[in-house]
Amino acid sequence: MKILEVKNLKVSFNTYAGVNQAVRGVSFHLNEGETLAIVGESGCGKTVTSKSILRILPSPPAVIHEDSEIYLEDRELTNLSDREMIGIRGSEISMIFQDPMTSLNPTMKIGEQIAESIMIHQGKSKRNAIQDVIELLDLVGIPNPEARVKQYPHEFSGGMRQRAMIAIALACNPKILIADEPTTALDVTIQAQIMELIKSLQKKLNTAVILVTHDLGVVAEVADRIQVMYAGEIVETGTCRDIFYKPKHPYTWALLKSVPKLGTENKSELYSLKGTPPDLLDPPKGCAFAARCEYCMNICREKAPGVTDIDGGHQAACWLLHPKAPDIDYRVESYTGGKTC
Amino acid sequence: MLRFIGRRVVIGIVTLLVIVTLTFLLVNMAPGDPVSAKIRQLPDSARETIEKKYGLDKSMFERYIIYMENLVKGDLGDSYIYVGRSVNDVIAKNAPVSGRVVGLAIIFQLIIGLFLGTIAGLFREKIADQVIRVLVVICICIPSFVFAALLQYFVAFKWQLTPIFGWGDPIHYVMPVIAMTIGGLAGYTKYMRNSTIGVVNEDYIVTAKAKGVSKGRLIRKHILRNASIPIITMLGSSLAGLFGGSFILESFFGIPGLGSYYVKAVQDSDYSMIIGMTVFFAAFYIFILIVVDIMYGVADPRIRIAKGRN
Amino acid sequence: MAEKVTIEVEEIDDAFEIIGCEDLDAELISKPSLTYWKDVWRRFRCNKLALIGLIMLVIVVFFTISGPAITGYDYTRMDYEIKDQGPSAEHWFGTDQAGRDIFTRVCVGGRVSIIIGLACTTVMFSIGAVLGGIAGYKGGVVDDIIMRAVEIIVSIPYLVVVIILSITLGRGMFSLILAMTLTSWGGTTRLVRGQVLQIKNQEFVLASRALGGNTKRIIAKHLLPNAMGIIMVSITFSIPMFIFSEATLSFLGIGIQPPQTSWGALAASGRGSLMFYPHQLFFPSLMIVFTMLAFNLIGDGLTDALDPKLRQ
Repeated sequence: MKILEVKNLKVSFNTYAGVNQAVRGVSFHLNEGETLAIVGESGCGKTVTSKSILRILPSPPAVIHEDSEIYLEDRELTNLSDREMIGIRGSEISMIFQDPMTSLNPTMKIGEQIAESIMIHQGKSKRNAIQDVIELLDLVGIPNPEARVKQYPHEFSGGMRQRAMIAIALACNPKILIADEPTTALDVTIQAQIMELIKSLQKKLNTAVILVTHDLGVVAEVADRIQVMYAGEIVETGTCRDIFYKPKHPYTWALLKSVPKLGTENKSELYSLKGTPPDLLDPPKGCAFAARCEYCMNICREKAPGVTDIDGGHQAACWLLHPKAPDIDYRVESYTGGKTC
Repeated sequence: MLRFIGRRVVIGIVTLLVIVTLTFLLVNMAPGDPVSAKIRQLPDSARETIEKKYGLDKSMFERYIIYMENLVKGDLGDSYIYVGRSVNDVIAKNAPVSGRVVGLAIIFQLIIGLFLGTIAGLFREKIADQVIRVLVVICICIPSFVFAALLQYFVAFKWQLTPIFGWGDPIHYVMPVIAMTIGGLAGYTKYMRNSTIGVVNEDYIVTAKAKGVSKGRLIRKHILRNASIPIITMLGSSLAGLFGGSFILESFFGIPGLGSYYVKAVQDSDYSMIIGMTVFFAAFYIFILIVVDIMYGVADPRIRIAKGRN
Repeated sequence: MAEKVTIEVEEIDDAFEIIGCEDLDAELISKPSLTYWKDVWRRFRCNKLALIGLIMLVIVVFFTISGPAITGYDYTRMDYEIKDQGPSAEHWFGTDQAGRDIFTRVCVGGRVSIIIGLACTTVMFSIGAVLGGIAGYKGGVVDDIIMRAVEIIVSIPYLVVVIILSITLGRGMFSLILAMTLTSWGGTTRLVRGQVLQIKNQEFVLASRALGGNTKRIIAKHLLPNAMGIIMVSITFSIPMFIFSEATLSFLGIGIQPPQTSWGALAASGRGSLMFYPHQLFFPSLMIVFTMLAFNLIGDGLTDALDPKLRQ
């Protein structure tokens, strides 16, 4: 059952150097209780996309195009007033951010910061809310919650702060949790713990999760569906199996190739995709990936490819899928490590 | 926390000692030995009392010791020119006057400055901000005596809203307080604006927005709370000048405060008065700086708790 | 669901022939890159207020230098016949109590005020740069001593020192400059030390040294300009601060003494006749405000041009 539908999302930023088209027509949906991962390199527009859903982009430079539509169940979000959006943020859709060290108010106690959500959206008094907060801290795995509630953020470690952030986000049991690179700033072992926590909470509360990340390893563990973004567009989308075992877009291939695998021969070079994404102040007329694609064809430079349905929900935007294009036999090296989608 | 305070107090005392010693040395090394020249002008009986009290016939080192002994007892010195008047008397009489005027000005500066600064910061680059910034630049560039002169000329002389000179009634407070407030307003506004801009761009403000915190609450509990902490430092500097920092304006308006008395002492070359008052100003200044450091620690939980652990 | 697009592919020759991407330069960055100072200057230029400040400063300097030559009056020549006149065609700023042309006096006084501002700033920065540099570079005990001294200096109310020194050294330009400089080098020392420490502690400096890279070139090319930028801003704000202090002190009678004159001294002598001949106080005051405004606008412009965070 669909709870979120994004149609033709276009976001641009007015800078002194021109108009930067960060997101250029992105469409996707999210089903109840599922985990959708949005992957791509820095600058591909995944964070801008996620922040646009909640409309927390800084508004003078950022502009969401009129044609864009975002539906939360049956409500259209881009036309809501500020006041209505405020009612949705934190209660129906929540977000957690990348850097736990700077994402919490240093002069407010942790308990109060979590309670704030509850007080605003559920109208409870501070004292009542604090009770809920203690339970929440317990739920996210922070030991000794009664004492921790009165402490300040700088008294928490990085991992614990991220747990507190998760508590804030889930305080009002939202339908959707947007996690923007939640583990990038953490140690590897803590990363695993936090992802475990998100997974278990999601099951418990039946929250749908949009996970924005550039780390494919994390994605394999938790995602139901994956969409790959490049230069402000979605280039491929599908279930976890589709993407890892039957990828169809050259960019997806490049991403998969660059993940170091166990069992690779010693001393073989790590693969890295050459070049950088195109400048979106002046987007290229053809396919945005053409300049870095070893399978680039003449048509790729002239016209942007449309979306091709491959199989069920699996789609990709690439000229190689056109009936007239040559067949590329992309062999999927088995993604060892025993992870299954 | 105690260690923190202790350290500041120790440095404060050392600083004070340095200042006192330097002051003493400098005044006594002035060419022409002005001290004895002044003393010679006094009637004989007074002269003998002073010479005995300060050991003026002794070596400089011994005089220094006597001076320090007196100081520790709380005696800041006697005037060499006006017989029977001591520094302590002058301070007791004139300090409250200064305190009231400057105190009022500080309160207004703080309130208006914080308000304007916050608005400028929140509406950055928009009309309100541009207007406020222009006003701030203009205020910074106009010396206090020019403000005072303008006020005197227009408000008192031309429009006759307040008396030109004098002291005693509330109406006499108007011009000096306005002049002082405008002068110091700019600093608070500028500082608060920069502080607000810094805070508004922090990640935790985005987190708060994503929680659904309303604009009003965001400003009060998240932005202001963090942006006003650095202002405490500025408040400290202002408070340090509570008793003596306003000499220009006091002289200009004829207010019998400590500042104008200090200027008079300098013009009269009343050296012991100058030294005594200097010591008082320096001691008060240092005291306020320590209080400010403590207040900062109380206001910012990061410092308070970290220091507490030590 | 996104629409599928049917495209006319016939018009492109060999539309589906694979050609790869070797010939394209995917790492081309489209905006032309500017050197650090060019970028700063560009941003400064775009700031109208800053440019106005620059123009104002040029005007002031011009008149201070050549004002007396233009009017032809001698700034000391007294003529009681024409005393206390208001502004007119012959005397642009009017005359003072002794019949001297105020415009000429303001120009000459301006030289003193500006020179004091520049002199104090130079001395203050020299002391501050040397001490701050040593403290930052050497660290350890040397750093501790210098910083303790700074803490003490900074706690001393500066007007007090000025007054005391003026007693010892007598009044006049020399003791004024000395007094004002002695109390203000603390701030500069801290500033320079902070910059030196920043440079020292950049991680890539460590990395570069470990890998045998040319650290000096990196520092000279990237870090020094940044540090210098901050110091330049500080200088731009210090000059008016000293002019302001000199004006205040001279106004109180503790600064510049006759026959020398400065804006503050001129204002002081005009103060007595404020009610009757306000122009005698206002014109020197106007010059002070004008000059300070110029420096502040330039300083604000520089700050905005140099600050990466305030970039739009």
